[in-house]
Amino acid sequence: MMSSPSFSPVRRAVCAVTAGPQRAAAWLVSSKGLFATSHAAVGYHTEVEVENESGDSRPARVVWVDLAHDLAILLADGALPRAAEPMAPLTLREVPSVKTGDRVFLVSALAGRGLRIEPASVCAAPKSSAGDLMDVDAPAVGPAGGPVVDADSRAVGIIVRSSISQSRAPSGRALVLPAAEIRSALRVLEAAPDLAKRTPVYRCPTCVTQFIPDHDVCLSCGTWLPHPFPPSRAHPIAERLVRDALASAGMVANRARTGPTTWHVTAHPPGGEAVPVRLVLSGDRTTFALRAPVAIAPKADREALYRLLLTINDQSAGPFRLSMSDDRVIAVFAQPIAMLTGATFPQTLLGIGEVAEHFRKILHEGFDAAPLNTLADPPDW
Amino acid sequence: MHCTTCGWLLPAGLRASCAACGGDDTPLPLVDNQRPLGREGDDEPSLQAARDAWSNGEQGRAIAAAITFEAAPRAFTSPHGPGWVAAVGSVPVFAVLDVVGALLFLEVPVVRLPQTKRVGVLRAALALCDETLSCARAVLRLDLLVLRFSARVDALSPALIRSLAREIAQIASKLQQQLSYMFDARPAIPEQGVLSAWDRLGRAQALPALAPPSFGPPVSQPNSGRPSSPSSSRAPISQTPTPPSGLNRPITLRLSIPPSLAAASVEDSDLPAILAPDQADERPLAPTMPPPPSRPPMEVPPSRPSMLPSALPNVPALGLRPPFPSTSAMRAISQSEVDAVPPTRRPPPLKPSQETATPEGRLCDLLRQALSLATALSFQQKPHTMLLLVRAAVYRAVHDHHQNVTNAVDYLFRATRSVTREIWTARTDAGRPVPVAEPALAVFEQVVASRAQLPREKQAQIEPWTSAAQAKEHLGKYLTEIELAPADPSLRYYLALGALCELVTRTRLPAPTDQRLREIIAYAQRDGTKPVVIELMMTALRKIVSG
Repeated sequence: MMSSPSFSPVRRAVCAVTAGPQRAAAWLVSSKGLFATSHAAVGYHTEVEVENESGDSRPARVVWVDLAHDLAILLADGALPRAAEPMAPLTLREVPSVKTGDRVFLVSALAGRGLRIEPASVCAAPKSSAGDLMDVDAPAVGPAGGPVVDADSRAVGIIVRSSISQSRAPSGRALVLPAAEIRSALRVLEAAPDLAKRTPVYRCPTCVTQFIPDHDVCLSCGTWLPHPFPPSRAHPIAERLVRDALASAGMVANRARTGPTTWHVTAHPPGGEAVPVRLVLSGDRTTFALRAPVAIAPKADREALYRLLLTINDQSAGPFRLSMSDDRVIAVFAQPIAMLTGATFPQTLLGIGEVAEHFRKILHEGFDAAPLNTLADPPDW
Repeated sequence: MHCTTCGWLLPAGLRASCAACGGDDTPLPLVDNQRPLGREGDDEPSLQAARDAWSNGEQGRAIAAAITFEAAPRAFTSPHGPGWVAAVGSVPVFAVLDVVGALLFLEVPVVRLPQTKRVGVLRAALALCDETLSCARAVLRLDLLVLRFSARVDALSPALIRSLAREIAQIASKLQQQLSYMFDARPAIPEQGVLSAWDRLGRAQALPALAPPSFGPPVSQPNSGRPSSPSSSRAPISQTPTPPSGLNRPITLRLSIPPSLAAASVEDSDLPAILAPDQADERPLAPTMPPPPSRPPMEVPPSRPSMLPSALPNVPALGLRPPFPSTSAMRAISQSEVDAVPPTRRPPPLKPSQETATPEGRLCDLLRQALSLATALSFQQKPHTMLLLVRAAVYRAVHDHHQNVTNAVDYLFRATRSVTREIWTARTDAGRPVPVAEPALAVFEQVVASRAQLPREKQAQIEPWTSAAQAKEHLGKYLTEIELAPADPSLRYYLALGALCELVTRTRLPAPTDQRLREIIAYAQRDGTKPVVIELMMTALRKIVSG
């Protein structure tokens, strides 16, 4: 019978990562404040937050990425998140190499939800070739980027999940990049004199030519780049319109994309707080909508609230409208996709931010409705 | 090194040619395409007429053609401007072109709120608003649930309008079915049918105290209470969902018409008397017929002569048009192109003199008005105002009549150039000698005496305003002098209209601003010297100057 391991080293190393609307797990791999995580999980965001199990959150930056292996390295800006025990890097286990049938544990983390540890068995050990992935018999639960540890809490690899690895993953099982790949990256980074100033360089996995996140395909070899949500080739007009509209507001579509038909953007109404806005395309890509959180509907006075919202929609909300989704009041701007232009998008974005903020106050005063600050679902496994 | 023609390896050395095709390494002249954007459906053959009208700036006609499905839509006149009821299947879609706000509304009444399950209906309506697929929103007007879509006209196209009309009808039909079966709501569509009167859309309720300041309607609408019967319902309120400040508007000269003024004009139109369904001006619109202009229906009782379209023949076609000299492409809407109201319901027709029925006659009439106002001014020792009056007359003539009475207008412009070269105001030019207006007035009399039949004249060279600052400076002087002028509504009307005509004649404005200004001019020409008209023009001028 296998003894139950103490996961204390894991708890001291693993953090949850918030990168814009995206979530990831990361773990400390170096005493220099370097964390390993999945590139696909953090996307093309460079400014992230790391949060430990105790809830302490600190800023961090992406300093290195390897798209071919879906690996990203973060550097904490200043101090590490604090807890009862100080953070310490996990030990990387490269030898003895993992064998098929070995017992391992998949670790993930979610901001506000702590850690999740699942036992698994190695189904297929990595071959000798570099970059080969390890297959385990457990599904990937929670965001990618967490470590896979053995019974001694040594990291044997990192859970990766990207468009590349997913295509090879059998039915949602977690795929694990061996720790040797992380070690290779650390050798370079720990010796770098300008670590604090490093910025990630994205290279095409096929031809290693450098690219910027704006591009969908490599300008050198023409292959599609590994974006977490690649553009739909069946709807080129909609893709182009969204790209141009976001560019007019100073945003990169591939960086803001959070799903096949969703983008996360931010409105900055003058004198107000930043309002998160979600750009959504309909399934057939004929319409687009901007959605901004307003308030949480109170339990009582629903009829009066509904009547007010529908009356506001008539003459008092301008081109925007108020809607209900579950218990949430949301400001919506929906139009045919052909009307999405860069000439008007920045003002529309600003407008929906103002509307959301305005009606947030109105509904709080009139109905004691709690403000709603995000459209993202609460984190859950 | 590889051949740029076929890709084969080139031998070493300068100017090496390809062994396979004879090419070399000279880069091919590749150029990126411009943004490949085509609006879906814009090449639909049945929309050719709509596209032609749209490209000519005749948006009303284009809208009518775009929403022609099985049958031509019925036209009506709403407080905002021309409107149509189109039948999409069995669903009536109401389209209204708000000429002041440059907005298009599509509305479909869906259901009346039931008693028992009304909250469920409200909730379902709000859930519909949350759907990305629907561009229309659900709105509530007392017990009537209406689907509504609004957008700036300049952001639309005929294909989009048609698509939106279809979409809103489809959603309304499904929603009505859902709400009727699930919540016992009474359908509004069968009750009204495609022959519905437009005022059956219910009475909109503005909430100025709750609306965001950037586009909320500032005018408080009186609460109508509950309608006693459908026929007693009043028109939809004209508070248009003006986009946030700056939206869709290139910032060269900013012009925003306060919704309060738009609303005031609606109230001033005294529409209730003509809103009764049995009197509504609704009839099939021939596809080639232009939309009715934004004017009150002709069922106005004779006791209100001010409501008659006295200036109708001078109303230019609505829509986008380039500034002068292309202004000559403008044409007036002839009476035959205006709503052909059934003879039995038509009010006593205007009987213009033979002279005012011709372009020359109308120019003479314009100059006579100026001479009449000048006579009154001459008793008040207002030389600066007198000069401004001359200026207003000249630019109104250029704006309104240059196309049809070219020689007379060119002569008028040239002969009065000495007093229209700049603007003198009593406030800033108090101690400065100003030219006398009498020679210019003599020119007016000369043109009138010749009935505007003048020999060929060299085309007037109108100096354009090349910057917003320049335009604002001139209009600022204009505004100052108008405010110092005697408080005669006819005089203020004449001057303010002259200022707007000069602005659109001498500037190349952003399309929305230009369109809006032209609509204001058309509106002013239509409704004459009403206080609300004068206030609308003055507000527009103030907004531009304060820009």
